[in-house]
Amino acid sequence: MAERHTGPSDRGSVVPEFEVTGLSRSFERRGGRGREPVHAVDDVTLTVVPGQRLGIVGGSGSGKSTLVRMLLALLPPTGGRIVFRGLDITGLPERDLGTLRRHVQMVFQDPRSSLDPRMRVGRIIGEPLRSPILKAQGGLPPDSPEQTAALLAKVGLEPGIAARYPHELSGGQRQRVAIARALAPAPSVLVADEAVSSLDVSVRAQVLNLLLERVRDDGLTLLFVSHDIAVVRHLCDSVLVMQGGRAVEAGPIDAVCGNPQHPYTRVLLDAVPTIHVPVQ
Amino acid sequence: MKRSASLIIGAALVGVVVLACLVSLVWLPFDPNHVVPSARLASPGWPHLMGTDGLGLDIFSRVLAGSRICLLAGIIAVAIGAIIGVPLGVAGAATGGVWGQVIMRAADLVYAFPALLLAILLAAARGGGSVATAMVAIGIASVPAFIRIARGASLQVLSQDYVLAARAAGTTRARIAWSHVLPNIAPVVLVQSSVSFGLAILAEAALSYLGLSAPATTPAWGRMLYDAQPYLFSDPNLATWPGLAIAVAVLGFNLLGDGLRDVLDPTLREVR
Repeated sequence: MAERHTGPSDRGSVVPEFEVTGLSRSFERRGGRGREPVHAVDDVTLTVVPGQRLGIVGGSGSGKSTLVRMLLALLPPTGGRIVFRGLDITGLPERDLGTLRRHVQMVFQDPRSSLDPRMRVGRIIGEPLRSPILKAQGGLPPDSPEQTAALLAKVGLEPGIAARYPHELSGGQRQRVAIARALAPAPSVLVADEAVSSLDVSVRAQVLNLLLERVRDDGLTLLFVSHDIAVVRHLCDSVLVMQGGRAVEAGPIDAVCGNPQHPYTRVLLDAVPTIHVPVQ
Repeated sequence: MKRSASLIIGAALVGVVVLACLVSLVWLPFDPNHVVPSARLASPGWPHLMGTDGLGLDIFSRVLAGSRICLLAGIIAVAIGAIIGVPLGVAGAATGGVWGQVIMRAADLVYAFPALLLAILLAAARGGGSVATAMVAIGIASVPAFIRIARGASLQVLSQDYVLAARAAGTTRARIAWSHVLPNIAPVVLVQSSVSFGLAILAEAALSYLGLSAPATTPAWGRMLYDAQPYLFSDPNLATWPGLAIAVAVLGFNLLGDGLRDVLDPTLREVR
């Protein structure tokens, strides 16, 4: 696959956050003898530079979640290489992933399953701060009530919420808690995997704006996974379009949306509802 | 919290047994080991509420005092089963692979040995049965059930996104097991404890009936059934009371387990 240019060109000289080459992940089909394995992610190459806000778009089953899980070393790839800040993290044991864990944090799709139902919010948010792997990296704020309150304030929640359990919160509040946990170790890269798709439409915009605000104010690099190209257009400066595990198109968001080269990108763009007001 | 008939009935029956045990510790109408030949085989009435046995021992006092051995057997057996079984089950789920398989096959091996056989083996090895050997045997026999239930529940917890989130937050495996898996499988373990408690009581009664547990001087329900055997047809009264006590205790803990299961998680299914 040809090298894909996914970021604005003036960032060429900096060390990229992620350099991914030929990344693949296939799953064996259960019980099917002689059947082909499923290629969830197939030969994806991409570069993420500091400060970039990359949207990863695709329909369900396009491999976008699998891709980011591999970037976070939560799922081992079956092929290819992931380099984080010049360090090849492919297949590294958990104890050697300190740099990655310290600087890359993730917000999951559904806060109902990404927050431990038997843990109070305060402890959930402080989890990264108690990690020995992250502590070894240094520069970590302490896991204190003040820190918890500050993190809750960052995501627009009252400090009193720290004593509550996740089931006592609304969907929007829960996702804010998940964002607070991700922001706790002051990461430089934030990965959001369909972070708003489980939310009510009414709170979706609030949480999206919160994400955008945090990313802008803290100067974060954002990897935003979504099936909705309109949301990506709102948040991101570049986009990677995935279909069937392959990266079919990539580039600056305006270029891709303004002049889509791949038919699938056009399908995604056409799926965005628009309001046509007939001219009287 | 959902109302559950079996929870209420189970808790009430267990409450009766626990109450009997507490009362027996401070007060008994008669010395349960005081032989009164002149009062032997008395019918229920006054002063012997449940009558007397072939040695003239007061049955009511012996039934009350027998609740101690019954509860002790349950507590020790469940403690052994849970303390050994739960960590092994969690470890089996967390490590997976070869070690998970080794743990499960070892559990199957122990599963194949009934508590009775284990108790007989232990008693033979120790040169005689005692309450301790019986309880240890019952405890070991209940380990596999705890391993299985803890493993199944842990696998389910480990597939949740909050475990992935914990890994992304740099939490170590051991800490994930301690702070995420254990609290989330606790309800399942509690249910299994109650069910195992009932089974342990039944097993202890069987062992003391066979003379492999409490000595004759220690009041135990199974032992009372054994002592009642010669009088089974002439004086069924002797066997009725301890039999009833065993039934109440076992039923109580089983219903309590079912009720807890209903309340804590309606999707749980019985493993044993």
